[in-house]
Amino acid sequence: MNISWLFIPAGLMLLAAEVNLTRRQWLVNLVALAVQYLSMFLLLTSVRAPSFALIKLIVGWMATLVLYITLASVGEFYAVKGPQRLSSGQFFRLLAGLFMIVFTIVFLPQIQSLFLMEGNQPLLLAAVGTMLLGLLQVSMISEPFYIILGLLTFLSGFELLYASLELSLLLEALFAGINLGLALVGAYFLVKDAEIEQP
Amino acid sequence: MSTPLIWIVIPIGFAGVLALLHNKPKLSSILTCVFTLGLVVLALVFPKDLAFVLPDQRIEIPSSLVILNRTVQISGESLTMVALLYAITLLWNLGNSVFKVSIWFNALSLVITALWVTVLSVIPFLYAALLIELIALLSVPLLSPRGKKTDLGLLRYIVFETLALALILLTGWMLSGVSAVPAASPLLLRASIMLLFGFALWIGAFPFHSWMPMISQTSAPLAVSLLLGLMQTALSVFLLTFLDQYAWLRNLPQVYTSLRWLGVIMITFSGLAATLQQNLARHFGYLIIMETGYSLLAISLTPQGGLPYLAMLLLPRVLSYFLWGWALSGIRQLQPEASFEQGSLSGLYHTFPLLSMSILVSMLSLLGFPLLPLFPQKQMLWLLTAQNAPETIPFVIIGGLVMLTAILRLFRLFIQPKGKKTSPNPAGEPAKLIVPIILMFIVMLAMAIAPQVILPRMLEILAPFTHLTLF
Repeated sequence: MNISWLFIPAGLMLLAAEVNLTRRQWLVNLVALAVQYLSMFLLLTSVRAPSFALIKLIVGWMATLVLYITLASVGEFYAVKGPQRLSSGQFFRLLAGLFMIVFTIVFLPQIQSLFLMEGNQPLLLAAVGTMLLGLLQVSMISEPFYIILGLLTFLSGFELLYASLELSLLLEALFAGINLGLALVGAYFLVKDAEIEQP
Repeated sequence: MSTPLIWIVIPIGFAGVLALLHNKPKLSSILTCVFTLGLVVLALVFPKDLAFVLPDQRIEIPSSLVILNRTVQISGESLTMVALLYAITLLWNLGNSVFKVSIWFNALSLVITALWVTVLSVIPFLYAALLIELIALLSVPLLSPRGKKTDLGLLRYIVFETLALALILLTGWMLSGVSAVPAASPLLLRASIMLLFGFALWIGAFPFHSWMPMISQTSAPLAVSLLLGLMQTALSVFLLTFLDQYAWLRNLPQVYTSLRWLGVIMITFSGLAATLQQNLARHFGYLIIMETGYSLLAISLTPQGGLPYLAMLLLPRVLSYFLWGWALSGIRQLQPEASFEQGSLSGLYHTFPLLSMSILVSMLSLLGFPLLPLFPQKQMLWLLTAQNAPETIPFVIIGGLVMLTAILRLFRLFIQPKGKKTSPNPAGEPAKLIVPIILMFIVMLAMAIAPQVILPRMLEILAPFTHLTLF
């Protein structure tokens, strides 16, 4: 089976994670998150039946929707900002993220032998790259919304990797619960902090 | 009807009912206490073979339940642990009926306990990693209620649990074909390192501990003490599951040495850090770290007979946590502006004599002070450590001594006069706060004087770990 087309969703997934790591505009971040889940779905179709892969897409988009509705409803505190130039911090995160992606590409053969996955390079590249970018995000930022975004990114990478290793219905159900739980916790943090900022 | 249905599914369903009753706190509290008491009693009296013999028939209760092609199994031998977990929830829910920590406390505490029971019962047991993550997410409303800014410690807690989830699941996948791998395989070494790293993240081992003192400072003391107490109790036993299931893991001598040094570092570090704290509430985080260190020390002494002391540490330790949570909650209820900063603690004894003494008694108890309930077990652990790993003893002594220094410093602060003539709090300490403390003192004293009465029952917790108890 020709899987070279899978490098397109893999690249899209990494790009979305890189955008979330770099930019601080919640609407852009949520669009990137939705794209990330779509790419994840496309990659998953190479190892799973489309009906199974669709579960991850629906759950991911539901999580994105929960965050979108919350951010849209908490009003001016989280107002949408227009396009902004990159600040020095954002530029630094961009470079750090690029470094991680290059690192993943360079060491891909070693990572492949570690996970005994000889065939599916695009899936492994997207999974490990996204996990590293998610890790970078949670370690560089202290705002609750972006930490939740980082965790969702990390988990989507991990789920992609694990989906190619093991299939279990209970595991799928628990992962869905965790993703939705993380989104709800993120929404809870947003509402709570907005209430304090603008009583 | 099966045991997982009784101790997992029905409690979760009941928690749903409690959630609907969240605006009727009194009714919700009474229902929770009666229900959890029922679960505790049932777990204690249930026959170990899960069979009821009637005059004309024998009824056997199945021990497993299949959910989405995976099994959840609670055997008769595991029921003592189930009883302990629900007893903890019962005790704290009694506390919540006085302090009203959160309107969701009853429902969430019940769900969280049911999930901890599932963690210890799910097959394959590595799926527990996902349940622990769910528990962390469910803990959020209790640890960070509305009206308080989101705390960085809580965020770190969620991040660490998520990272641990990935590490443990990957370890599980690596180990799935381990029986065909030779003992000296690098795969085993890699898996062991990832497993220990994942566990270190879960239990908040040094240097992943920072969230514990942070949430101890910012969250309600009763909620923190319940969640961390449940977590520590369940994870100590869960670590035994790993050692029991994987022969190669328990046969690796480096595993016990690593656990021992990790435990000793936690004991020493927590003592040193506690002496530097300026906020009383943060001490709880360090006490938890110290106790986790002792749990690891006991597990590391498994081949030398350390496990019984781990089992016997669980109950008295939980009582000390409860006393701590109760006393701090009591002070906060009587003095809502109390910040627990060092400057505000001066002369606390003159205002709240019994509550302030409860804080010190709980700390001394955890330290393993004579005449308090953790002394006999800790004394035996110190003895075992001295016999089998004498090189670690200086660090254990340093940890204990510096923690004692921190407690004595608090004692000095509590009893020193405030400068002007001090008088007891005009409102005094109400009976509803004092009576449970006195009862707790009596129970703790009884446990210290006659540990052979109650604590041997706790050894039943070890019954499912047949490979470990053979040592």
